[in-house]
Amino acid sequence: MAENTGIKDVVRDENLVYKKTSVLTDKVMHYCPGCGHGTAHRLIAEVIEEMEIQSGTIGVTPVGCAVLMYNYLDIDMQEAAHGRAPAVATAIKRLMPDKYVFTYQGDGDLAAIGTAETIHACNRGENIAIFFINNGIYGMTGGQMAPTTLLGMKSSTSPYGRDVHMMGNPLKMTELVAQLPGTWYVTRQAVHTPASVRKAKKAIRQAFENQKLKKGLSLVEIVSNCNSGWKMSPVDSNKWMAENMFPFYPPGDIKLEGKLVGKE
Amino acid sequence: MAGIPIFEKHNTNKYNILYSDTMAKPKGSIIVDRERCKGCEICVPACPTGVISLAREVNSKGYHFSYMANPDACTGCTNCAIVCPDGVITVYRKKVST
Repeated sequence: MAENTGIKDVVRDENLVYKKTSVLTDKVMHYCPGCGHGTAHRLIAEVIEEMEIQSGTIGVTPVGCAVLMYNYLDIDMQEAAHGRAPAVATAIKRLMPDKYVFTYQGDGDLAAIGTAETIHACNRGENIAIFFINNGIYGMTGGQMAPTTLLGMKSSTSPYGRDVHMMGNPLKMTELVAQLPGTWYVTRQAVHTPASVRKAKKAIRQAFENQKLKKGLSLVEIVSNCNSGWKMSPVDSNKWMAENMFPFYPPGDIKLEGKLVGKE
Repeated sequence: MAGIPIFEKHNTNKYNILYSDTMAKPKGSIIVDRERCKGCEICVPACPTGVISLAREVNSKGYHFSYMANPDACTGCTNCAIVCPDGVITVYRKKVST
């Protein structure tokens, strides 16, 4: 009978269905509670474990909240100057073409300080994967306005909301690089619900698989929350993200196999 | 109709699934790493059967860790574990025939 089956009968090694991957170290992450960075880290680690490429993967992290990512992933990692991760990853990939190389960048890094490096790496079609975490704010330095901050969105340097006349328009970096001929796979995902996490994992897996093809660069944008920067609880920030970020940053594939989705 | 889920509208279950008596039911359980849990509460709305809630007690960092408040309802669907930013949840599942 089901009623007689206690927890002790269920919690056994043969019944294990989900466990933290061994590619993630046991260190407690320094991220704020509920931050999407942790989920994105775990997805990358799970994909590395599934593809069995732990010894053949090199990650590049520039400055941002994810600057300490090398503490959490048990793979080879290289630190880069602020925004310069695609340039460093280009060098690593060209010197070691058999390795899987990825960069992990935030929006202040990829879309502001490293715009030139990002666009030129995408345009050259380097065989690397870029994971772009977009939370519309400079999270690490205290919630300042980033290029991706939405119009009307409050941040510590735009306390009355972003004004288009004074601060310009938000930058859709992912759509921008999708126009370039060097990109092979460009997609936007999120990690706020179980379904979106599953989709994001597939996209990350695809980005790693694409490196075998040597056809061009793969960019996966992950729209994430920044509950500390947005001054909300984690659950509220995920709701706010779904209501306000997704109309401007709609999740979905933008470029598949070198062709823009929806355009022949 | 052995083993076929029956769909009914009035059921309070989120997915409106009732299992017939002879169906093998999944019985699940989660183990939360209390010291690593940061009490962000993201797993609570992710659970389709409302198993998880935050504890009154706190861990050594002062966070209210999550725990199984309603262990009988757990089906081991792993939704809580895959949204957990800190990867603190381990999931077990066993098929129990009634």
